[in-house]
Amino acid sequence: MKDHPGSSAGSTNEEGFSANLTGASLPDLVQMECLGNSTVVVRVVSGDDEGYLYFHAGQIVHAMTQSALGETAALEILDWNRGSFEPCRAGWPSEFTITKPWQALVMSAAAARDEARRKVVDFPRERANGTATTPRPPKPITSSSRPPAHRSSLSPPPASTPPQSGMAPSGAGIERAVRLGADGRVVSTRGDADELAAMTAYALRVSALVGDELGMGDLRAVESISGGVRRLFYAEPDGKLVGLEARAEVDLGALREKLGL
Amino acid sequence: MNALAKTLTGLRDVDEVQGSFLLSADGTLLARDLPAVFHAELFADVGPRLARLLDSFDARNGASTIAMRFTDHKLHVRSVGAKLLCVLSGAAVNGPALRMAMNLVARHIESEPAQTDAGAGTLSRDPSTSTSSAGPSSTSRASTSSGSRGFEPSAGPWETR
Repeated sequence: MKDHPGSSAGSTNEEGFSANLTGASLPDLVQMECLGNSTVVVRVVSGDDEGYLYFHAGQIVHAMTQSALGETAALEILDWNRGSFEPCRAGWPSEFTITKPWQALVMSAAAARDEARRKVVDFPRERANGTATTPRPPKPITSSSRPPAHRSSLSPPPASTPPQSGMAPSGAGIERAVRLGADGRVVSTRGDADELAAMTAYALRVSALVGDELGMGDLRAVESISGGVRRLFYAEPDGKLVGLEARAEVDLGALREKLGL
Repeated sequence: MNALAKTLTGLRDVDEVQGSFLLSADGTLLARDLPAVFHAELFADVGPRLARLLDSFDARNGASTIAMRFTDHKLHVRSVGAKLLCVLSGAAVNGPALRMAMNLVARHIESEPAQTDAGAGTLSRDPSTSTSSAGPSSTSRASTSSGSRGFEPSAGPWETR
């Protein structure tokens, strides 16, 4: 690294005000530097994490953390929720590593954060032909393959399914999970979920039939407690079916809330 | 109104409860407390399906509960001995209150198996309809296995706080 010729990084003796802001978000501070066409290196500290953002003429041109460089590091830093943000005298890199406009970086970080909040269950084992998707609010389940006489209507997922910020990682306590395609093919699993896969498909199908017969409307989800095991079944907006299994004492309230159930 | 159907009416103390019915182990309708729109023939399909669904969860140890969440309604199913107690409610039903009500009803059902048989097929709310699917053989089967599985005194799904 070398010192940047035109850098004012760390020039704490220059004219101007210093400020101690509380409650500002990191994107807000980044925006302030960028809109001010700043050329500065900023040290960001969040708990044990530390990173540097390099602003040049109002653009983020470089970033680094303890484990990453460039755009990856910038996104990592922008994902931090709290900490400090202060100019520093860090050396400049020999070449810039980020070319993406700062607005795009901030947007990417926000999108990644939203996605993480929506994520309900991790499926570490994706099947070869499957596609991993991020769970979204459940879709009403209809038995579309049934004869016309048993037709069921679709209704949109609930409008208000806000992502829950600051909540504990959802999916905690879930021991097994499975995601099925509309055709019953296993897309992804967590734990040994072969039996759960069959149970998921069957429970949602039979429940939809029961609901149709009783005129209950569209099925949103099924939850059961049996033999000390709690199970939750629902369909994602793209039609994939999800089955989760946990011990009966595990509270799935946060998960239900996240799913808008 | 037979004793069982009368017991079921207690569930209506809970807001949003729209009715309830009791099925035998094989899904045969034993008693009901439902609006007339739910005619008895409906349960020829619904009952066995619910029984099979409960079986699919392999509930050999202890009681089982199922809560189906629909757009505006919920269907709660609880095993009571070998029988299935089913409650239709609005989506905003008070979960803890309903669990308590279902516990009480379940206790009555388990403690009075003889009356269950005697009153099978009687309607509580709509005398004009019949429970033709509730045959003697099925009620007998239900009574002989009653009480073998008990019921869960605590939580069911869909807690409402």
